[in-house]
Amino acid sequence: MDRSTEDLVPLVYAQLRRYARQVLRREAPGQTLQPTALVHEAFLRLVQGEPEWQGPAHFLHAAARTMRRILVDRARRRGRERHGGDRERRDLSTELAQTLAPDAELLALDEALERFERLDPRRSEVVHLRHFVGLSLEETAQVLGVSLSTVKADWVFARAWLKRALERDAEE
Amino acid sequence: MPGTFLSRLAELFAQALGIAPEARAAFVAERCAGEPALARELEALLRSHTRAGNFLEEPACGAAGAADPGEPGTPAFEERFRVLELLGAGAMGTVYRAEQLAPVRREVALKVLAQELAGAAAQARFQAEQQAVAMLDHPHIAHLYESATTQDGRPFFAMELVRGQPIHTFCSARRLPLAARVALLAAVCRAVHHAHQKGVVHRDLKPSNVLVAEHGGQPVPKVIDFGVAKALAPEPGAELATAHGEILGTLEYMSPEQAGAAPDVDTRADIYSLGVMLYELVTNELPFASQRLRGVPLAEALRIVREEDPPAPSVRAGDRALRELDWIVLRAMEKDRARRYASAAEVAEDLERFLRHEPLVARPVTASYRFQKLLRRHRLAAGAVGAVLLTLAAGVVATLRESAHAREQRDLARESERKARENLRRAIDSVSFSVSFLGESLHNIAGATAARRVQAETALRSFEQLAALPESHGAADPGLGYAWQRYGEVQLAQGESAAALESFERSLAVRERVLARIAGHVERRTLAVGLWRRAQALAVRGRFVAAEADCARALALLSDLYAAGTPEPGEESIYLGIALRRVAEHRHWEGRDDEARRGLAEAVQLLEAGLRVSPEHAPLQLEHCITLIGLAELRGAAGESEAARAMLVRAQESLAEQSARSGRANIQERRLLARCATVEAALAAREGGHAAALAAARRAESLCAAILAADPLLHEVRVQHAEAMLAGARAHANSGRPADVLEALGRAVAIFTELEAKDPEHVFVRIGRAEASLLAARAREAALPGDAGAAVEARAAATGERTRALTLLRELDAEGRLPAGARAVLRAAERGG
Repeated sequence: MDRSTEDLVPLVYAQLRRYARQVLRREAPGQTLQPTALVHEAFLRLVQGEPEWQGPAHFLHAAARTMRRILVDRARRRGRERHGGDRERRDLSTELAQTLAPDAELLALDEALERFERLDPRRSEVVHLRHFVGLSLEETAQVLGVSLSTVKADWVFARAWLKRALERDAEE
Repeated sequence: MPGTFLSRLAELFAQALGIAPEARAAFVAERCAGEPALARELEALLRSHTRAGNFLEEPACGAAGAADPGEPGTPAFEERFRVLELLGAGAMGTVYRAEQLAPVRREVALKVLAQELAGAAAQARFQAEQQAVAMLDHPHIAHLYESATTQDGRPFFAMELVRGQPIHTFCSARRLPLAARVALLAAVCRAVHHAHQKGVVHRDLKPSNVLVAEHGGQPVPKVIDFGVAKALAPEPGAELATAHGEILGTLEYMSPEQAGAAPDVDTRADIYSLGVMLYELVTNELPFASQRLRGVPLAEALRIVREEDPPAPSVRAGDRALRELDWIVLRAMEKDRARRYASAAEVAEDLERFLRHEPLVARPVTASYRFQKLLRRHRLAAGAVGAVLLTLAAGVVATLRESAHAREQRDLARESERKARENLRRAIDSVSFSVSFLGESLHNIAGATAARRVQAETALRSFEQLAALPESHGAADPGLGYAWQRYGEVQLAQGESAAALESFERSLAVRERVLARIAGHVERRTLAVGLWRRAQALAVRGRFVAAEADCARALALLSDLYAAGTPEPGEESIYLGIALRRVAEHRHWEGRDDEARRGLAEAVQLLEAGLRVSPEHAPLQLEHCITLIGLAELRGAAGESEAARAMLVRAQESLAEQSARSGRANIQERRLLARCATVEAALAAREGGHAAALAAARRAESLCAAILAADPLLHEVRVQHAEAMLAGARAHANSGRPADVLEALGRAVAIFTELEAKDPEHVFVRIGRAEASLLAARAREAALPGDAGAAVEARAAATGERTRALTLLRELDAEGRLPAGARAVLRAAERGG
C-alpha cells in the first residue's frame, strides 16, 4: 500500500463502519455474516487486491463492488446450503422465508444491475455508492464530482429502471 | 443506438416527473409520438417510479448481529467479563453485551461511560448512586449488578441484560391498541414510583430506556439505566451542554426544570418525562418535534421546552377519543412541577382509572389551571371567538352605513340593503352560536368560571352593538336577552347577587319587548326562564315574596304551554318540572311543606313521564335527580325515612350513570352528589345515627372541597361547602364531642364570614353564620371548664355569640327575609336561651 491508499483507509473504514452500524440496528434473524466481519472482509480484499488507488472515488468504486460481490457470494452459498442438506434450516420454514426473500431479491438485483451497468455506467455507479456503500446523496455527489441535482435525478431514474427490470423479470 | 435511447428515456423521465401525475399520459403521448417503444418504456418507468417506495434506499447488506471484541475501541474489562457484542453507542457511552464469568456466570449489559465524562467527581457520584440503585428491586426495573472501572479507568455498569425493543417501537411494530399502550405505561409508572420511593430519580426516562419484550404473550416493560444520568450530572455551575443535543438528559423528554439555567431535579422531572412518553405512545408524535428542537440553537430549544405548551394529544392526533387522556398527559407535563402529579403512582392510578372508564383525578385541577393560565396570558383569549364576532359586527355597521348612503341611488339601494340584512342575520347567528354553544361547553366545567365570564361579557357587547343598529329592527333582541341572562348567571355564581339581579332585570326587559312583538311558543318559554332566574337572585337576597311571584308567573306560562300541546315533549316536561320545583321550593321556605311535597311529587311524575319517552335525555335526567333529592329531603323531614332513602339511592345511581356516560362528573353532578350526602346526614341525625350522619356530612364536605380545589371562584359551591360543615357540626353536637363541634364550626364560620364580605346581602350565608354561632355557643356551654373563673368567661363568650346571632336573625325576620326553616331555628334558640 502506498501513501495515498493509507490516507484513504480511515475514510473508507469509517464509512464502512457507519454502514455496519446502520445494519446493526436492524434485526434480521438467520443471518450468518456479521457486519463487522463483513467490513473486515471487504477491507482485506480491497487493500490486498489493488496495487494503487487513484483517489477516493476509485477506492469507493472498488469498495462498493467488493461489497456487492461478497453479499452475492454469500447469498449463493446460502442458497446452495438450503438445497444441500442443512436439515435444521429447512425445517424452520418461517425463518427460511425470511432469509430466502432478501437473498432472492439480492441475486435478482445483481443480475439487473449487471445489465444496467452495461447500458449506463454513470448511473450504475450512483447505485453502487448509494446502495452498497451507504453514501448519502450529498456524499455521492461529492465523490463523483457532480452536482447534487444530477445525482438526485440519476438516482431516481436508476431506481425506476431497476425496479422495472425486477418486475419484468418476475413476470417472466 | 441503445445509449441514445436510454439517455432520451432518462431525459423524458426527468421531465415527466416535473409535471403533475395526471398530465403525464398526455406528455408521453405528445413527446413519444411515432415511437411506441419509447412511449411504452417511459410509461413503464413512470409506473415503476410510483411503486418504488423505499426500494434500494436502505443500504444492501442484510447482516446483523455481533460486534467483535477485538475491534479497535473496545475497552479492556476485568477478566471476569467477556465482551460478546456491541449493542449501541451514543454520546454518553457505549453498551456491550458480555458474559460475566464470576462471581455468577450470566449474560450482562456493560455500559461504559465516554472518556470525557470519566472525571474523578463523576466517579465518586457514580459510586454513591450505585449504592442506591442496587437497592432497587422491581420486576420492571433492570437490575444493576455492579459498577467498576475498565483497565484504562473508565467507569462502567454491569446491568441485567434486557432483550427488548424501545417501548414506542414495540407498540408501533405490534400496532398495540390504545388500552394496551396505556396499560404498559401504567406499569412503567409503577416501576418508576418504586425507584422514587427508594430515593432514586431516573433523570433520563425516554423510550430507549424503557425496553419491552414479550413474555408468555404479554408485553413486559423494563426500565433500564437507573442511576446513569445521575452519575453523569454536571458539576454545579458547569456547562449544561457538551454539544447540541448531547446535553444531559434528552431534549425531547426533558422537563422544563432540567432545561433551566440551574437544573434542579427531583422525582417530578421523571413524571414529566413519563408524560412525554405517554404523549408519544398515544399520538405517535412528540410534544415538541425532534426536527424542530434540533433545528434551532440549543438556547432556543431549551426555551421551547421551558415555555411552550404543546397541543393536547387529542388535538395533535385529531382524535377526540384521546380527550380523556389529555388531562393525564397535560397534568404530568405541567411546566410548574408543583402542579404535576405528586407521584408516579398517581399517574398510574389515573391511567388505570382511564382504563376502567372512571373519572380522573387530573381532570378538574388541570382544567382550572389551564383556563386560568389562558386568561392570565391573554385576557381575552377565552372570548377570542367573541372578539372575532365583534369585528364581524363592526363590519355589519359599516355595511349598513354604506347602504344608507346608497339609498340615494335607488337601484343600488335595494341590493345593498338586502346584503346588509343578510350580513346582520349572519352576525346575529354567529354571536348566538358563540354564546349558546361556547357557553354550554364551558358550563359545568370546574375551572371555567373565569373563562365563562369573559365569554359572557364579549357576547353581551356583541349583541348590544348589533341591537343598537336601527336597521336591526329587534332582530338581535333574543340574543341580547340571552346574553344578559348568561352574564347574570356568571355574576350570581361568583357571589354578585346585586349585579346579577340587575342583569336578569335587563334580560327580562328585553324578553318582554320581544314577547310584545312575537307571542310565540319559544318566546314565552324564554320569558319563563328569565323569570325564575330573576327569582333566584331575589331569593338569595331574601326577597322571597317577589321571587315567589316570578316563579308563580313562570309556572302559569309554562302550564299553559304544556296544556296547549308541545312541539318537543321532553323539553316541555323539563321546563314545567323546573317551574313546579321552584314554586315548591318557595312553599318550603314559607313553611308549607305539605304543599311543597305535593308540588315536587307532581314534578317527579312529570319528569318520569318525559323519561319514559326519551330515557337518555341528559337534561331531563339531571332535573329528575334534582327534584328527587329535593323530595327526599322533605319526606325525610316528615319522618318518611325509608322513602327518602330510596329516592336518594335512585338519584345517586342516575348521577353515576350520567357521569359514566360523559366520562366524568361535571360540577352539577358533583354538587348534587354532595347534596345527597347532606340530606343523608340529616336523615341519619334525625334517627340518632350520629356516626353515619357525620360520615355523610364529611362526604358532602369533601365533594364540595374537590370542586373548589378546581374552581375556587364558585361562590354558591362555597356556600354549599360551609353548609356541609354545618351539617357535620350538627351531627357532632348530638354526639357530645364539643371540641370537634367547635373545630368544624370554626371552619364554617370562617368561610361564611368571608362569603358575607363578598356578598353581604346573601341571606343564606348570613343565616349559615348565625346558625354556626348558635351551635358554637351551645357547644361552649356544654363543655364549661372546671375552673370557676374560666367557666364564667366561657359562658359570657357563649352568651355574646348567641346574642349576636339572634340579633342577626331577628333583623332578617323583621325584614321578611327569613325562610321558615331559619325562623324555626330562631324560635328554638329564643326558647332555649
